[in-house]
Amino acid sequence: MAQQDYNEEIIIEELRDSETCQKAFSKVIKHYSEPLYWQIRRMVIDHDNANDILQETFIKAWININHFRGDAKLSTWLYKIAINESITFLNKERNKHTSSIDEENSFLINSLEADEWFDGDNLRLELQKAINKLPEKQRLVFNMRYFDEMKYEDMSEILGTSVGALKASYHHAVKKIEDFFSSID
Amino acid sequence: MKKNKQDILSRIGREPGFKVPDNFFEEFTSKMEKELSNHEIIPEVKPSVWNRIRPYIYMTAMFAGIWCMMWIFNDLAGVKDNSPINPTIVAGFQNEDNIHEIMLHGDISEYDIYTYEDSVAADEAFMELP
Repeated sequence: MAQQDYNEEIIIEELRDSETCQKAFSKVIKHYSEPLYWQIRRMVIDHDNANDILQETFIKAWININHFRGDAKLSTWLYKIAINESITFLNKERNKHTSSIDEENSFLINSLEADEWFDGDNLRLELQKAINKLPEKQRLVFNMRYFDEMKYEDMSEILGTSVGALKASYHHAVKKIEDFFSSID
Repeated sequence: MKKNKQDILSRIGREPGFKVPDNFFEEFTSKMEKELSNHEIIPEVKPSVWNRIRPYIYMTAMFAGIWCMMWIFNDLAGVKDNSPINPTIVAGFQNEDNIHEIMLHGDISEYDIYTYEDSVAADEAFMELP
């Protein structure tokens, strides 16, 4: 959908009207499915899992649409749901797969190596390994900032963290990734 | 080495290497549109008047309770303190022989003495009434 077809203020008005609600929500899905998918995919790595979580995100948003008050942006609300769903999924998977903190995210790397929907070269694979060694919050911040080039102010609204703390998290994440590559040189 | 470290992210670029099946997003949208009709929107529950004012009522009741307790305790303490004459002292004064002993060594203030004298004068005046 072209950007000019999507006017968030009009969409929010339509979402409040029971007659136009479903049509408006279809526009929301069209507009946000791709950015939300990539956000989820970078967190859970595997395409099938990302697809399932994206569906869950939109279903949760749909059934709770009356609770969206319009205080925050629709995108912020959707990102929050998507990130919460992804974190819940990752916690469940960690409990299933890991026995120690050191191998906490190793299942993500295993799933990346087995994922037919990953066609990155060796350097990109190493980058994903480095990212998956980061603590969860730093990983989120790095993905949002580096791949999405999201503004710190927008990230602050979604993650409920101050801009200063986000900048520090990103800085630490970049340093750890650089150190990871130094160690394998 | 340092230059290599700084360059690593710019060499990799911002493309993570993930891909999706062809027409994935178009198909996803139409699949989701159908899926939505299987899920009911949770109706918004508007809080009743009682639910909205309940915290204020509870808070008011709590403060009223505290105020009542303080009032009762103050009242009880006041009855004890406002007693005009210390009965132990009065008992001591009944025996004239003890007066000097009590005045010299007892814990008696001037106020106690004046109070006692007033009460004795009042008793005498009462007795002299025709």
